Amino acid sequence: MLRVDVDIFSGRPNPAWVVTDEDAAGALLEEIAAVAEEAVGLSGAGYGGLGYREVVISSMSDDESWPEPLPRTFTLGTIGAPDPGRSAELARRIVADMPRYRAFKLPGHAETPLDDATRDLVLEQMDRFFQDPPEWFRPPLFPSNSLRTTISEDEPIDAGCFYEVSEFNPDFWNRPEVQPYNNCYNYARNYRTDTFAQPGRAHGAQTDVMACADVSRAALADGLVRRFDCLPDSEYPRRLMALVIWPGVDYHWYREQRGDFWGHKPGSTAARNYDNRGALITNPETCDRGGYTDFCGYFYAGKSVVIN
Amino acid sequence: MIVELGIFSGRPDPRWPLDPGAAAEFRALLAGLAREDANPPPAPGLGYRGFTVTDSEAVRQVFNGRITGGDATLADPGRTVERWLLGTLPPEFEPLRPVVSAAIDG
Repeated sequence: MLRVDVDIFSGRPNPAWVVTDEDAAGALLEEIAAVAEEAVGLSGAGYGGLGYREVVISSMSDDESWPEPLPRTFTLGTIGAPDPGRSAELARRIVADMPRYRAFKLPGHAETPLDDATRDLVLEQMDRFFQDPPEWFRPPLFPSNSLRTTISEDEPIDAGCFYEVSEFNPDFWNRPEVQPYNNCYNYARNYRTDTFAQPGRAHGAQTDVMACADVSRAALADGLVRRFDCLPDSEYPRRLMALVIWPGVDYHWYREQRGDFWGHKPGSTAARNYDNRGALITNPETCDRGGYTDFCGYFYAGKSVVIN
Repeated sequence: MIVELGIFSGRPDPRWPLDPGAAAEFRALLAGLAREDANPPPAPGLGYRGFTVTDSEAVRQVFNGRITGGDATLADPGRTVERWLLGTLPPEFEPLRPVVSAAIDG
C-alpha cells in the first residue's frame, strides 16, 4: 500500500488517500521508478508557498516492497523535479484516480472528502500551477550527510548557485597508500585516483603550459565549470575549487571546507589547511602561496567531473 | 639511487637516477657530516621542499640543512648536499635550477 498526499491547503487537511490495491500500487511504483531521474523530487524541495505545491507519495510500512531508485517518501507534480512537466503528468494521473480510494478512511476526510469536487479543484489548481510555474527558490534537500553542508552563493554575486563544503578530513589523504599518489587536483576535486591526476588528462586535454588560461581550459575539459555557472542539484555534491599558477612552472588547487577555511595538498605532501606561513587559509586569494603568484579564479566541480 | 626534487604541487616531481659513481660521492658527503639531535624540519608548504634520495638502504630527506631518514639526522649547515644534488639535475629540468638555487641561497 502507498499513501498519496496532495500538498495544497493551508488550513484544511490536504487531500490524502491510500492506494490499497497492491497490484495497482506496485504497477504505479514501477512506472514511476522507470522515470525517477526526470520526474521525482524530494519532499519539501519544490515550491513552498501558498496554494498547490506538490504530490507526496510515501510507503505505509517499513517492509513494503519498494523499487530501488525511489526513496520511501518522494514527490511528483513538483518543480523540484529535474523535468517538472513529466512530473506533473504522472501526478495528474494519480490525482485523477482519487475518488476511487475514498472507501479507506483517513482522519482528514471529514473536512476534505475524496469526492469529484476535491479532485476537480486539485486538477484545476495543478494545471494553473504548471501553466505558469512560480519562481521559487529554496535550499535543496539532499540525503543526510553529516560531513557535508550545502552553501547558497549570495556574495559577491547572488547567482542562485549552490555548492557543498565538507568537513576537513586530512586523515583520509595522509596515509602511506594514498598520500604519495594523489596531488592538489585530487584533493580539491575530492577524488582519489592514485594517479597524481592532471587537469584535462582524462579527456585528452592536458597542457604543459603553466598559465591560468591553459590550465583552466584543461580543467574545464574535465567538466569543471566556472564559479557562478550554477550546477544543478543532480551534480550534488559540488565542490568549490580555486586555481593558482606558479607562472611557467606549476599549478595548484585549493578546496573550500566546512568552517570558512580552505584545504589543500601540495603535491605528494600531506593535506593541510594552512599556508606557507603556517596560517589557517581563510582566503586563497590572499594566503601565502609561495611562487604560485597568479590567482586564476574559482570553479565548481560536480559529481560528474572525471579526473585522472 | 634515485633522486626526487620536491617542488611541484600539481605536476609530478622531477626524478632521476644517480650513477654508481655519483651515488658513492653522495654517501661520502653524508659520511663527513655530524649527527644532530634536533627535531627534523617542519613539513614544507608550496614550492621547493628539498630532495628525496632513495636507495636500497634508506629513503633520505635532504632539506634546509638537515638530512633525515637514515640511521641519524645529519647537520649540513652549509647546505652543501642540497647544492651537490642540484648539480646532478638533468638538462630537461634545467629551468628549475635558478628557482631551487634561489630557494637554497635565499
